[in-house]
Amino acid sequence: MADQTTFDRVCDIVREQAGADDAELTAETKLSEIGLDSLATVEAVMACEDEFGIEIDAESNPETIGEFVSMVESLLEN
Amino acid sequence: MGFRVLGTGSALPERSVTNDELSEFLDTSDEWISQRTGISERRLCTTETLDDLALAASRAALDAAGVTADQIDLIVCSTTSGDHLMPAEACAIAELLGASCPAFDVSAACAGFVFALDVADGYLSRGRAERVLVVAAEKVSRLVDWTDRATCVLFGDGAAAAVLGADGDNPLAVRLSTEPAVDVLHVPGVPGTSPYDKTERPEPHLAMEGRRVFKFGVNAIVTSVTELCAEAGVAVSDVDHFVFHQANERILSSAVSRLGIDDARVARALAETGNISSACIPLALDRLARSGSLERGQLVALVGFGAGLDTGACLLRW
Repeated sequence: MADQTTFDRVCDIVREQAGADDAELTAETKLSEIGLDSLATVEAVMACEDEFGIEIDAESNPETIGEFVSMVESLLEN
Repeated sequence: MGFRVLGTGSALPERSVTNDELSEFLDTSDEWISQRTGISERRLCTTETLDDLALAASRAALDAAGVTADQIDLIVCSTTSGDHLMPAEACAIAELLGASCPAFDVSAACAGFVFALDVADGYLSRGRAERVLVVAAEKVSRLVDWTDRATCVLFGDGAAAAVLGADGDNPLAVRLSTEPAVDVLHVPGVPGTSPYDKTERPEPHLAMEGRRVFKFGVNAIVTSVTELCAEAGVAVSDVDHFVFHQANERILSSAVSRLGIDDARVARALAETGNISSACIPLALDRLARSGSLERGQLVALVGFGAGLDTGACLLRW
């Protein structure tokens, strides 16, 4: 299960990147649904690298909030 | 000991091709291209050769500098899309200008103009030359696969040049770097017809990993600007003009927001020209110079980045 804090932090980054401050996000929400195309996803990935102090493979392309959070969490554990 | 930029020039093909025109034969649209790249149109060679464009840009730079072809001691041209695999594009420029100085090319992809400036600076600093013509000339339209909507919409053709004189203190700082990763952005060499060659010989078409290039580009700009300013002992906010490689508006805007710099100080030509590889930076410089925006004494930061993965950055006092 996604740690609440990591989940919220990732959601804040995604909302800011999408310019959708009030968007309701769940683990199942697709990034494309809230307006993140592939380049905007890279920008959100880069913002997460800064936020969490991790390095994420530029080719990683999470499709949902849940996948995004899992990716960050697995890197935080290493 | 260093150089001063004595004059700049640029030349683009006549033909402008809009996004709508591309959507006539590609499954794309003006909206898709504009939103993802910031590009509205690009200039593409029809009857012009790259030699023609390189010559026109060089003549314009020499005129602006008040220097004649026989006063040039060296011609360095940045290109990865020349009219000739050999000799160098610089040799064609020398012949057309009627110059008799040494002439050779530098290959550092989209970062090539800054690498060429650094090469020129070496000749000027060692006293081997007093005036150097540095040209960037690119006909990227010959390298892209015109059935690939993900890449061919991004690029354009053009040339730009600068004449350097050995009487200044530039560069104030310079950073060249290579993070070797050939496949990320790559154009294979000509396949040839050798009956002995058993290797895979793909068509010489440009291929790139877009997301990786995007991330590399943003980081290249942010890191380079920060390091250049630290090396020169100036604040980022002291820089009057930022001239970054024009690959994608979203790379520019992402880097601008990360650096926290004034967007109005960032040169842009991308919307009308597309990505002209190494010609982007000198073209943007020439436009700034000709619009009267560049004043003597101002600080100008150049950052080129591209295949290699190469980054070439320098800080100049105009």
